[in-house]
Amino acid sequence: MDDPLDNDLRNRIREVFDNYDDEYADEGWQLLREKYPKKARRSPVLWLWLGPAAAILLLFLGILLLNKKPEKENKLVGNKPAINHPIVKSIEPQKNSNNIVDKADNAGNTAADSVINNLQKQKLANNQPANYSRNNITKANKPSIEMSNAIANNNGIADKKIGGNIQPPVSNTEQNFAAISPTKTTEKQTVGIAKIDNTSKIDSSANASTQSMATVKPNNGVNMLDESKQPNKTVFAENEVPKNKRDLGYRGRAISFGIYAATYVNYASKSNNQINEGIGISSDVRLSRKLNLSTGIAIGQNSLNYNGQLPPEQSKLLAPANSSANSAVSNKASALAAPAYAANAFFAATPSLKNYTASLVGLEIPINMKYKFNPEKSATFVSIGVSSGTFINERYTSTYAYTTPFASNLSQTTNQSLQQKFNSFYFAKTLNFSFGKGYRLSGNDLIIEPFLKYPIEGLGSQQIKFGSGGVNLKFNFQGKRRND
Amino acid sequence: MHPPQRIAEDELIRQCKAGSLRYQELLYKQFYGYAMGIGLRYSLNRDDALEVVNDAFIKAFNSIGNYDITKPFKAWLRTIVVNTAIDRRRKDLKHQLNIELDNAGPIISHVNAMDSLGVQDILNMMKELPVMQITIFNLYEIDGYNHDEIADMLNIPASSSRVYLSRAKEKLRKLIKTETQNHG
Repeated sequence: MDDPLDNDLRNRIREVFDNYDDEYADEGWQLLREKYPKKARRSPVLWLWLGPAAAILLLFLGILLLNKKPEKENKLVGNKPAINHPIVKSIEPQKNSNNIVDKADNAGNTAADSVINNLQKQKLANNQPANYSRNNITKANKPSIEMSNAIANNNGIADKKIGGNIQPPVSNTEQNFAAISPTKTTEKQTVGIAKIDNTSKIDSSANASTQSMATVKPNNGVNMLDESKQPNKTVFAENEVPKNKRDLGYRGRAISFGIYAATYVNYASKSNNQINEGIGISSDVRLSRKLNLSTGIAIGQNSLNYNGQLPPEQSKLLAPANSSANSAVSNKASALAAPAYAANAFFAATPSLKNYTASLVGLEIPINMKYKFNPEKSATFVSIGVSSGTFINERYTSTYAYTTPFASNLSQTTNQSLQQKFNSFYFAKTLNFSFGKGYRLSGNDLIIEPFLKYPIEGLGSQQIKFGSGGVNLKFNFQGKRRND
Repeated sequence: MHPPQRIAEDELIRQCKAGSLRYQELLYKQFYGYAMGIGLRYSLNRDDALEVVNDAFIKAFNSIGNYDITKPFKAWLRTIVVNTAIDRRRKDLKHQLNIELDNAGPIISHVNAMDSLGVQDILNMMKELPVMQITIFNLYEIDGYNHDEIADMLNIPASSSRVYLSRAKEKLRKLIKTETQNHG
């Protein structure tokens, strides 16, 4: 603005607006408070998760800690000097392309030797004379040691320690086992193990059965070992738990555990849907690469609310109950509904059912088959199965209003409750369907699992047919991966 | 209107950084007038200006943790208010890009001299200008942005900003002179 007028105007505008004030700051603040701060509007579902999830998490952390101790002990045992853990007294190698021969005279071999010697030993066996220990078995019939194809193809090594001072090679983190077993019955059969370190060679995704097993097959009639010292003895190191069954395949565990919290809606005919929650633990037993058997135990609240009417199941039961109250169920149902049906007995007050609620704390044992679409890459799955269980506590409450015929404006409400605990056990009365999508979290899986539970028959002492649908928030512990 | 008891700006800001709602209220009330003055220049009516101001304060509260306390708070707040006002008027501004500038509206009244111009007089005068012109006038002349910055803010060429500013000033001059003559 070159014009003095412009300058004056600019200055005037600045002056006026920089010092602007009005009396409505309070109102302005009130308006602002409508938008600020944003109310911590946690999703009700999320809020319902937090408590149970935290409780379960703590529970399982405790369980995990307890379970870890024995593993450590086992590892320590496995690392003990070999002198205390002879595996095989001696096995005579055979000059065979498949044979693997190890020197038995090096009693001080450590676990690292098996790593170092790896594939070369297999080749050396073909060219170098073997040194036999004094305990060697009869040489007339020579045992053959066969490696699985997978190992051979992957240049994996079964390092078989021979001799009384042999130490079972131990890989600190990952181990494979090669079981040495006779193909036919001999006088003394000995099963040994040869440890394989394949940390760099063996693809963990390879077929576990061919990946980790090496078998020693002695010929007929061969007494491989010093019978007096190693009679018919499994040659796993003492206190060392055979792991070949549980250390196979994806994520390394044949059994995995998880915890979950569920938020769901109970549904039943003529009942208002009620939001409830539950918690549980689960375990997955791997049946095949993609198929798991999933089970566990869960505790959850179930509630139903019938406005002014009884559940259909009870309505059906009540009709015969008036004439003959034979069944226990109908007795219980009629006991609850008695005031309504006893109305004719009272001329002064006519009761009418205002509300009926059922609150059941269930203990559920689901057994589901879980199909994982691509277990190597994700934990996405579908699951179907049934649930059995019992109810820790059942409470059925009927609310009645009494009105007198001559004074309709006078009314009174009363509640009648029926409570039972561990009344009965139901077996496979609920069908389960679910779909789970997993997300990797620090080596474990966080799974969001929408589910639907469909009632096959009535549940609880009142035989109410109710189901539920909701979402499980599940945390699956995968543990350390073991490839061998 | 200022709060009865003024609190040092540093203390206000420090407490606001700590998240104190009480001090946020005090800060709001202390700088409400200042922010409204800016909001009014861009919004030209009180209701819109109040919305701009409140949105700006919410942004300020949410980002006050990043505010450098060594710099003037007013300048920081002014930037937020201006940007908020521009954001709210962006649609109007786009619409105004193609409006012919020559159609002057009715002349303001009660303007006898520059010094006597009050808030409402200035607002009435500004209302006679197209939104784009008055926005650029405010940005350039009052709030100190240059044409490149304005071009970035309004997504227009810098040359257009110059043209709009020139036309805005011309129009204002006419308005003021006319009214001064009429009432002088």
